[in-house]
Amino acid sequence: MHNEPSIQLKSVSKTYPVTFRDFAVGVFRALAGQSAGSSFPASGRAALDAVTADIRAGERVGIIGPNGAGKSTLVHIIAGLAEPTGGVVEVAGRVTAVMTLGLGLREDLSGRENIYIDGELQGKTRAEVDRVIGQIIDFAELSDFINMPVRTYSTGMKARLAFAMISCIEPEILVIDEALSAGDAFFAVKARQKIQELCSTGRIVIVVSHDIDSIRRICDRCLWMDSGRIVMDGDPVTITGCYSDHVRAQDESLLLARLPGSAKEVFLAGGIEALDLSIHYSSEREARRVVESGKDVLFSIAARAGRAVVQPSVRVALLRLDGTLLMESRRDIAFGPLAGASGFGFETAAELSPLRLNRGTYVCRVELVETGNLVAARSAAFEVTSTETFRGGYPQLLWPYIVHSERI
Amino acid sequence: MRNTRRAASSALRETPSAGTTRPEASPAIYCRNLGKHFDVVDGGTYWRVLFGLHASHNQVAALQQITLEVPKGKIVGVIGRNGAGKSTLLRTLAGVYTPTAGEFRVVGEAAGLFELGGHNSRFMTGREYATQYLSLRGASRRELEELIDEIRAFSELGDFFERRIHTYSTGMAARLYFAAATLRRHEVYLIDEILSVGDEHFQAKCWARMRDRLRGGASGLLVTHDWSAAIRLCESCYVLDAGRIVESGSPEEVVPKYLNLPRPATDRACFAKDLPQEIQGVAGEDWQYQFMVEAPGDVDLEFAFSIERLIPGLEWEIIVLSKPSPVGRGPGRFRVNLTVPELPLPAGDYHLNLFLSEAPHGMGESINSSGLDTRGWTYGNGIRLRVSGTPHCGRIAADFNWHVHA
Repeated sequence: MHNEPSIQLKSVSKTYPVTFRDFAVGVFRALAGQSAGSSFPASGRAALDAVTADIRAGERVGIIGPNGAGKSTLVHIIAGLAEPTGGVVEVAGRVTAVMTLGLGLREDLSGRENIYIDGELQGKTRAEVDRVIGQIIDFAELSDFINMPVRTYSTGMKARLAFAMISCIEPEILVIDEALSAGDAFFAVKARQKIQELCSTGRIVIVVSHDIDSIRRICDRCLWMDSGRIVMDGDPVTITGCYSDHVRAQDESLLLARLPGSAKEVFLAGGIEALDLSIHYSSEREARRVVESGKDVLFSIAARAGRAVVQPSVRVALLRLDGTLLMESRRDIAFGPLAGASGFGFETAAELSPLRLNRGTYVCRVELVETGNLVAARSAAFEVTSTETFRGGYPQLLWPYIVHSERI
Repeated sequence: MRNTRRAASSALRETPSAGTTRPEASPAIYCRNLGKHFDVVDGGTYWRVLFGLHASHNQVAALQQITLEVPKGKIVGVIGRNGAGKSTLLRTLAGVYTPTAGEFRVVGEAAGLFELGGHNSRFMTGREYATQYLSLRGASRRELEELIDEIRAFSELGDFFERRIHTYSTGMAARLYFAAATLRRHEVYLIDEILSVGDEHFQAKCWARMRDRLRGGASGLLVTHDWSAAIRLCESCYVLDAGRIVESGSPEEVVPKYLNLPRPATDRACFAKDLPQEIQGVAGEDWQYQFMVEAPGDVDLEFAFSIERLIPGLEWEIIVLSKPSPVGRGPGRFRVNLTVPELPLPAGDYHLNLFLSEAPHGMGESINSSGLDTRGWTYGNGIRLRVSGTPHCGRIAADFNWHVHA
């Protein structure tokens, strides 16, 4: 028996072969042996790139990061399910991993038999399993089904059984990969409570999750991974905060490339030369694509035409990404500085003082209308950020309210 | 790929006897007393078969007496907890399982949006998968290329489209399968919780596509444990519990019964008993609401509220949500005055939810802060907020200020 569970990772790398050449390099490395292999790097797609970390007893580590950051690869290596292609992994303590719930259940055996087999694999005696089996069955809410073969279970039932099994056997190092999302809302609450209970017994718990809330609640340390590297390592509130900021303040070009109806989409009828839209704070001239909720935001619109425009009016609308219209406003352009028979032009701005939308991605669409007909349109996507957090939901607006109470 | 063939074959099961009923009245999906029992195979099964006895003495009833109808052009939700029989129902309707009792009919070409991907697709590239999927569905060689490009564009896989599926992350594979399965219009959709794929942007895209597909007169059955998805997509809902339908009706009525939230204890503090069922407001004007709180117990009170819009089949959205505000310390009676300046709600009906709770003590946020009394539609005792005023085009009753530049 070891004294204390611990995990040490020293510049751990993992590359997956993609092309035939990568594969050949892998074979060569394997043939060349340990010493020669390490001086000749593996080629292919690097899922992990020199990750160094030290996890000590009693730590509850959350791992966050975008899809494909290498989170799963890292926990697979810690759990011994994958071999690193470089670096050293030292794990002291027995690792119990919940990767995909339900994986590892023996389909032809009953739930009860599965619990005994799993207990045996974890080194428990029959008597020890007998002590907790009632608890497991209760927790999994399987009642009669426990004596039936696992293949007759629904997906949710399998997930519940698998979760109950691992959580009742008191693992030394528990690795949970996105398992919290399994099951329905009722079970998710129970599962979260169980994990918190486990964490308090001083074992190492590693949670990989996209759910920032649960990482904040469960963990006391957080690793942020991106492209196979650990970007930040520290306390969960700070790290998850930075991570969500980073996610929100995504690259403008990426936003432009991905969002339909971004600035690329522009429609100009004959004679209309330009319709421009820029978004900025009222106090600044600098155009922005990310604005903070609660500030005064200006949607500046400018149009130019090489001909006269009859009864021009402009419409501005804010839409959600799914196309739902949130607000719109229309304004007649009575006159423009360049209005006349030979040409037409104006600048105007619609202001929200302040912008009260909650965080998210929105689309602003402006349209130029001539005698009731649409002659030009442009839209731009923008993001709204906010640090407000709410318990129990995600409101559409951050609207003010006053609660006043008096004793009578 | 097995699913594909099965889903397609279910389309052929269109019964010719449909002609006996009036065609406009015939529903897209129809089940009567549908039941599905599974035989439990145990150690004795082989012996019983050998001796010519009935194969099993032990059966599991996954579905019992299911009677439901999906009218043409509507999407109907079936909500239920894990193990309620939701997937069994969907598989039965798709023809993967044969029912053991009752009858059902699916009129029109059905597309099953569940267990996407099949079982042996892992070693195909995205393009190969798309090609195979489309070919099995009868796409002609001419249109194939165009359709594959559409799948590639929608799934946003980029270069990964040419790589094998086993190099994808789960989300990427799900995007590919969703893009392929929803590419063409079908008459009937059988959907199993697939709208939760990818990030915010991709989810918005999935919703838009689903809505578009369903708007064109298609019918569908959505099985889910996510009641909010059922509200946003379905005008009517069934609740499935332990293989039986226990509730049906509009999601607004059915969801509180499905959730069956525990009524909070009101012995220490509660809202006055005479709170109205319905209150009024005017769009864009300051809105005030006054009510009484009675606290016989020694308790530090907090109050929070939310305003939600719920249109079955269209949306469910929390529009305004407050943080807990202090009320006072009991025992005592309190008059609480709630003001929302320039009420941002266009004319229509909303739900006002009121929450009374005990203020958390000591350090750290309280995870299970104890609720004292709640009025809310999910508890079945909500307050309707009826907003009048001039209609607005958008979902928010607020306006821009226009400026003219020099």
